[in-house]
Amino acid sequence: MNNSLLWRATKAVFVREVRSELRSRQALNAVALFAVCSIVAVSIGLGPLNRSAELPLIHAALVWIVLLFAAFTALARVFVVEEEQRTAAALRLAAPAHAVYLGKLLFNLVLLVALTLLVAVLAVVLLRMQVKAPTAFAVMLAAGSLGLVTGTTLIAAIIARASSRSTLFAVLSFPLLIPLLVTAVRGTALALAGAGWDRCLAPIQTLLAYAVAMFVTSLFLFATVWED
Amino acid sequence: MQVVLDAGVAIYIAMSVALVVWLGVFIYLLRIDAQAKELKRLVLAAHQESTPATPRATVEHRTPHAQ
Amino acid sequence: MAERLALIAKYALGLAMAGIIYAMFLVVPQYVGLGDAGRIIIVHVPTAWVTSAAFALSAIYSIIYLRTRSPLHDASAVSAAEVGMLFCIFATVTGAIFAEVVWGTFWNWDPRETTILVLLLIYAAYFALRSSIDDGARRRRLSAVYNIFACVTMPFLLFVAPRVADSTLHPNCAFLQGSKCEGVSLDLNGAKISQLGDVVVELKAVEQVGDMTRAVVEVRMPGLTEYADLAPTMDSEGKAADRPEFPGQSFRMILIEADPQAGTARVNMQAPGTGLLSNQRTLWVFLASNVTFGLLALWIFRIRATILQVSARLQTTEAL
Repeated sequence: MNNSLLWRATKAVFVREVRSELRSRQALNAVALFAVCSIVAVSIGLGPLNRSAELPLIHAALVWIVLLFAAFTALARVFVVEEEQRTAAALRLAAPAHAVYLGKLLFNLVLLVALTLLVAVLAVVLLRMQVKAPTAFAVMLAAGSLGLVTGTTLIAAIIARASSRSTLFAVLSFPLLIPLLVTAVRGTALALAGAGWDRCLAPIQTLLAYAVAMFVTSLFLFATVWED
Repeated sequence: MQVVLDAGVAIYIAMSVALVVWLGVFIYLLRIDAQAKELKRLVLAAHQESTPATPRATVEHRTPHAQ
Repeated sequence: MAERLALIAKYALGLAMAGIIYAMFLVVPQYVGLGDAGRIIIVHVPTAWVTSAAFALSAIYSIIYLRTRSPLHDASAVSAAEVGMLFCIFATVTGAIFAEVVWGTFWNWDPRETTILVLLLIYAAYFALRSSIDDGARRRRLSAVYNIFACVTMPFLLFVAPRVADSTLHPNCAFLQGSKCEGVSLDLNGAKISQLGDVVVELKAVEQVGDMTRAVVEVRMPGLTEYADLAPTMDSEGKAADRPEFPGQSFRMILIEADPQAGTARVNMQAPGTGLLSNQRTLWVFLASNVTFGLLALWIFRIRATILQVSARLQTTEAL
């Protein structure tokens, strides 16, 4: 496969995803509402929290839990929709498997980054989350989102072919995301508490290594999932 | 009942319970193992029987007016 | 001939396991501080090993399946996963019992417990996936992909669960409520009272005795039920020597750092069982137990694989 050809096909798949999303705005609406609802619910439930040594950890855990469950509702859609609208076969003919995977991965990444931004802003506003090391915090969220997307996109492709999809997606993804989640929560807590780069670097490296490992494995395995 | 819970006796009781449980599991495994082997043998045999025989023909040259 | 040998091997395995059970109760010495509960590690640790080995085996068979696409290899992958699940449950239950007896709680998110729980969840997810795809070939293919994908995340659990060197049991600091991995620092001229877990500790003295450094620490148990003066010591290289036991508990106090001149000391709690395998008899029984449980798992795996392979064969002949 020629590289520029693969890139062009990837771009085409990505643009198609974005267009169809902008037409219906299903995923965007669902995810944004989910994020707002859950942050508001947490904010109402907790009320104003006292400053304490454990507050950064609590905030980090809340942010990642909201992100995780929003991801569970949104990230499977890219493949499920192909099966529901019976367009998978056409896509299979139109684009090489790797281009399909990369295009959908990019789309999921854009969706999750938008969601992360929204959740972070909401958390600062509604939960009074203080970010003492903003750059480290942003890098941590970006690396975590990257891991979340690379870890779940292949699973989304798998469950699109199974029955009882929505529950299965969470069931299959959750165990694989536990290492990511634990690292991301601890790292984000460090960044919130204002730790220096020397302490924030280790979790960021772990998150990036996780993302790379998941990405490479997905590239190897995706063709097998997509074939029919 | 007090005898059973006595520290010196309890450990023997615990050991015998564990041994009995293991004996049960072991016999169970042996039986299942034998049955699985038998099943495999039967299925393989049936498989060979059910495969249709390949049609065979032998050509014999016969000259009708042979001496 | 091979049949006979296999049968003899099976009976030998049965006897070996009976021997392990006997040795576990009557040969292995009672470890001070753990009591009879310590014997459970002879079963607990091998089952945990078998769990991880079965998981790896299952992933390997999944890779082979994706290359050959033979249902027989998929059957092997499934039976390895089933054996893994079975032993995973064993390991979890025996571990929880041990934790309750020795540490006072069934479950407390110690790193190894997290790891085994993740394994359990992955197995459960694998079977859930298999049960929700109807088409045979597709089920085999997708579940193999999931199995391999899940296996890739395993190394990252090591980051979550950093191993603690020089301890064959779980790490000491993670499970004690309120305790810290670093222990607590006490200073004769400053903060000489602190809390270690729910025990109040007060430094009374730090002194040099020969080439040993000794700290005298008064401990007050929760509810002020018991008082005691403990004297943990440390040799010249900074290794803890005497590890006195807290009154009425099976935890021990160790001295991590001490400076007699400055009058400071750092002490921590340590779980009993550290250095359990330094006893020769325990070590050999433990190794034999590992081998025996490995063979037992292999046997169960073979039986289950045979049955699943027969059923796969039947399905293919029906399909023809």
